[in-house]
Amino acid sequence: MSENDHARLSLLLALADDELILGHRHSEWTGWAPMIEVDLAFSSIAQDEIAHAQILYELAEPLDGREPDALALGRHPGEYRNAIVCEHDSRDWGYTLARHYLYDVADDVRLGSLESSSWSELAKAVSVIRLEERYHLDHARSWLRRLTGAGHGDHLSGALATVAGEVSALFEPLWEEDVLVRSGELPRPHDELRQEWQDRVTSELSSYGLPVPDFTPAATGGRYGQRSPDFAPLWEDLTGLYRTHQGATW
Amino acid sequence: MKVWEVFGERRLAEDPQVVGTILAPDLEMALLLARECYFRRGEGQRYAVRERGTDELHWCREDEVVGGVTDKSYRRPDGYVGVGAKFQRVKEELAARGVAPFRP
Amino acid sequence: MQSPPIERTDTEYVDRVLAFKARIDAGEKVEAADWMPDEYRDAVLRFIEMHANSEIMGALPEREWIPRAPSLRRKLSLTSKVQDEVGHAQILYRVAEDLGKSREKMFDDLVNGRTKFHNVFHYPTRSWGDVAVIGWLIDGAALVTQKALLNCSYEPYVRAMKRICAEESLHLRHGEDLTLELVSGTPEQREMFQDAVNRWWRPIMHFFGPPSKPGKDALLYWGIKSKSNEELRDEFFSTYVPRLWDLGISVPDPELRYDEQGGRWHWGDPDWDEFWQVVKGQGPKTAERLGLRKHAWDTHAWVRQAFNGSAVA
Repeated sequence: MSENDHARLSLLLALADDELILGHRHSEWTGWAPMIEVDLAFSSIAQDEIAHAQILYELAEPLDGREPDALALGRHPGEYRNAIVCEHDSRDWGYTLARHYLYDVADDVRLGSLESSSWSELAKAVSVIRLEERYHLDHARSWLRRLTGAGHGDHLSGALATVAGEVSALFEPLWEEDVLVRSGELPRPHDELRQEWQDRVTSELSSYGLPVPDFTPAATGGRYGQRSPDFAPLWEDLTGLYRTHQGATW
Repeated sequence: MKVWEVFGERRLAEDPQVVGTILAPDLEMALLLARECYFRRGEGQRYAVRERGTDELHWCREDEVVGGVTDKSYRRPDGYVGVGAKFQRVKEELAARGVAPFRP
Repeated sequence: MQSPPIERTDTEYVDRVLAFKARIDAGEKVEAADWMPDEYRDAVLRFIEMHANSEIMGALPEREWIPRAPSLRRKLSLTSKVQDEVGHAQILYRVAEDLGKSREKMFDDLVNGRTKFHNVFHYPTRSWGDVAVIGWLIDGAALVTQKALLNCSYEPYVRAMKRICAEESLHLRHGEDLTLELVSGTPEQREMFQDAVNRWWRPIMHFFGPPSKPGKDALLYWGIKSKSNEELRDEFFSTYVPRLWDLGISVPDPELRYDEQGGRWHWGDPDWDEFWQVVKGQGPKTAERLGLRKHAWDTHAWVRQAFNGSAVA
């Protein structure tokens, strides 16, 4: 594989694994979210993330050789490239919302940049994905507005403080990122994207009267196959049936 | 919490019809929640909500993406069009494999 | 002629009730704002409430398999299917709310064991075979009963049932698709499906309810139900048993056969004690699932407070 192809695959797996693993966590709320109408809205968001992962795995297939189900459900834990923040248990609704908000702003920043990627297939896929991601941001913001307006900001500020540093790690530079920046496939390096994300979150949270959290990157290493203790049980659930019956169709 | 009537519009020329109701605390959340409660299969191009007991319809954004854009056939009838024929094929395949139909 | 299932004997009320009954017998429908006998309101509310409870409780066994789906497409389709069941609960709770009972009260009654939900949702799931059986046979059983409800005298429920039946028909095709993959797959997959059928058959038989007493059935009197339990079960047999048998799958009832002459199915009457225990709240998974719902309900009281606009203490 050429250096460029290796770099492209790194980027795709980082994006796809983030979406798959977080989508998996979000989908676990289906059936018991805090309110029925909310359950419906959030389940669609979860489905979108998983569908986005599938689109990105399809782009990865010619580079990696494995088809989307094999990539999503057939790799060993150390082969996944998601940011660690995505794999944590959803805990409670406050944590879920904090992670949802911070992640979706980050996703908006990086996808916004990738829309002008010189890699045309990726740029096209990203512009389709963004049409659905807009709803995710609207949803997260509506919750922030509603909760802070009703005096329940404290359920959020603690969770935001916990999550912010870990979402920062989403922007951990990829190993071969220079190659992609030079070719314009990654229009802006991750360090710049992180700064833009930080600035947006600072300004938005302040506008809701929420304290600005510490953005120092925490739980780094996800892009290099580092995993947290939360990953193993997730991986058993996610991949168990697929791996037990190799080659079976469902 | 309030009750909101949800209106759908199949084609732009038609009068909007009530398709259901939801509970939501305010207008912004009502519009947000109504979309995935009643339009996640793209049943219509635009939708509106009205707080029960009031007169005003509030429409979704002009450029609202109703029903998603990525492949959602997994949740629509068009994703399962071939299932009837598949049943026949499976029957034949099983017979060829020597798996007999069960008879009491 | 069945006399009205009411307590009051004052002539004015009885006459109004009889006139109401004549209207619904003639096919007229009742809307939320119409006058209705208290007993009708109670009966239709309890029926719809139990249906809504069943949808939201039914989500619990199925959602266990969302994280464990064996392909991306099935992960998506199962998530959306469970989402639809929650959507059905949403539609039905709204109909019940408009009849005068708040969602808070209905949830409180449910999680504290005061109201019921269908027997099938009190049982454990053990494999992907169960997902196929639930998606095809249990949803199939539900659709048989739900189609019969399209004749219901209470119009808001009829409107709800139209949407619900359309979505359940989609679920059925999905369930059939899952089934076909299993029965035509590896020996392990085929066994997975047969094993699930063996475990779920009795609860499915129970689902249609014990032998009906038509003369005493208030739900039939008020036009809420239109078919007997036996008719519905028979329809289920005719729709699904020949198809199961065609796939070489057996059901664990050695007496099950179709009587050509009599034009009906003969089957082995199951143990009804188990059914009564389960609906009274002593099914294998009842306590655990109600506990999960109650925990979720209690933990997220603050969300409801934020939505109700109550100030935080």
